[in-house]
Amino acid sequence: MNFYPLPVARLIDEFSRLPGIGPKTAQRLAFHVLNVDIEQAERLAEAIVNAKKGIKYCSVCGNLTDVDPCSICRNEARDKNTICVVQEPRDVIAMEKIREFKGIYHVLHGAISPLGGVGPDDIRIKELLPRITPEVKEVIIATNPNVEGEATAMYIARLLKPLGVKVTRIAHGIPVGGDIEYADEVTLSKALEGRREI
Amino acid sequence: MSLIKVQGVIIKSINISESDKIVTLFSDKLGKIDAVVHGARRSRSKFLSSTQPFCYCDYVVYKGKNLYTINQSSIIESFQSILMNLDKLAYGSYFLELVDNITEKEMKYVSILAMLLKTLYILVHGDVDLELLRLTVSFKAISLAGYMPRLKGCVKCGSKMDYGVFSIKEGGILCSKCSIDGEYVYELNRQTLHFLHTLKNIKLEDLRYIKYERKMVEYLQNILTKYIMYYTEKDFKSISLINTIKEKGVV
Repeated sequence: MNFYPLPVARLIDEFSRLPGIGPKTAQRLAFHVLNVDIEQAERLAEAIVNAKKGIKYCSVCGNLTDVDPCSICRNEARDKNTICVVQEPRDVIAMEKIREFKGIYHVLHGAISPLGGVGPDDIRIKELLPRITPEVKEVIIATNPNVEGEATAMYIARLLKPLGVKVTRIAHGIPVGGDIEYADEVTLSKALEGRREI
Repeated sequence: MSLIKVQGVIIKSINISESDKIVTLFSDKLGKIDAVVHGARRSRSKFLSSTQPFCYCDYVVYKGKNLYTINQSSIIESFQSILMNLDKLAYGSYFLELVDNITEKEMKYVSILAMLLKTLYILVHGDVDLELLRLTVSFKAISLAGYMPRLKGCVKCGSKMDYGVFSIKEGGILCSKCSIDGEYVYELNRQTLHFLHTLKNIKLEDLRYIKYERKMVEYLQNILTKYIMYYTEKDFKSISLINTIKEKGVV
């Protein structure tokens, strides 16, 4: 039995399709939208449609952008000799937040998953190769430290080795603010492996 | 809610919601089980590395309505060095998938668990041809799981023979009188059949001492893969990575 008028039921249904949104939250969001004024509701709908229609992938790095190439690839101040390889566009945002990396990116849109049946041809690895010009000095592989991320890192490293470019991997270890006592053996051994002189 | 202590290897992991995951744990006391790990993907989770595939741990689990939940974990051996080598990672993934494909949920397979652990140790520390290891482990694993093909005597008439054709559909070798043509039929000569018997009895740690032809190993592996896929009705996703890195010469 449907307790809601049809447009409300549809709104709840659409909200509940979003990640992390259950039926209760969907209902709350739908009633919030019903309570706001019409202009605000239109702004929300317009923002969703504009984002969906106006956002595309950068033809160079594969990052999300409204203008092709993206602002990072167009920026002359960025170091074009250092490429950071990441799995997803949201990883670019995470890297940009640190404000220390001045190079450019390459977004793979996934990772090699031996158990998931995702192979090297299913992600943007072949688009990386033409970007490795003689001017490129370093490729930083910033994939996740799990089976998929490591498989991708190993594959790219082997692919790029004959090209003579320096391939580096981001460090793994204890998170800042963490306790050594509670760190697991794997993390601790990684941290020890990647220690540096102070 | 009773807590159960088990030892096991994570053979599969699927992300669910924002920070949880469901892992397939191949354990000594409960067999193959699916277990939820709450918050396992958070950067400060205590389950972060103990719920990665290949990890061999002590786990404390409890049974919920549909799934188990992992409550505590302590790493025995993480096998993380497998992740540092693309060949080992590809073949290691195959071994995990093999175990997943040939076993049923909540049935004990202590011998297969012991063999999986031995295989992973050899993968980390041993110096053995990975194709040979794959063939041997596949052959031993299907024997332990109850899918062993009949290799002594014709499947149909029972006559003794030391060569013939191997029929996947019939589940063993056929003599020249009983042999049939078809897509699931492969020739096995005397040397190949003898080699299969050797693999059946050899200890994994002794693999590096045996002499073999790489072509024969690949031929047998091709038959065995089709055999396993035919009887388990499951595909091997990890084989595509092994083939890709072989074809492209990345390995």
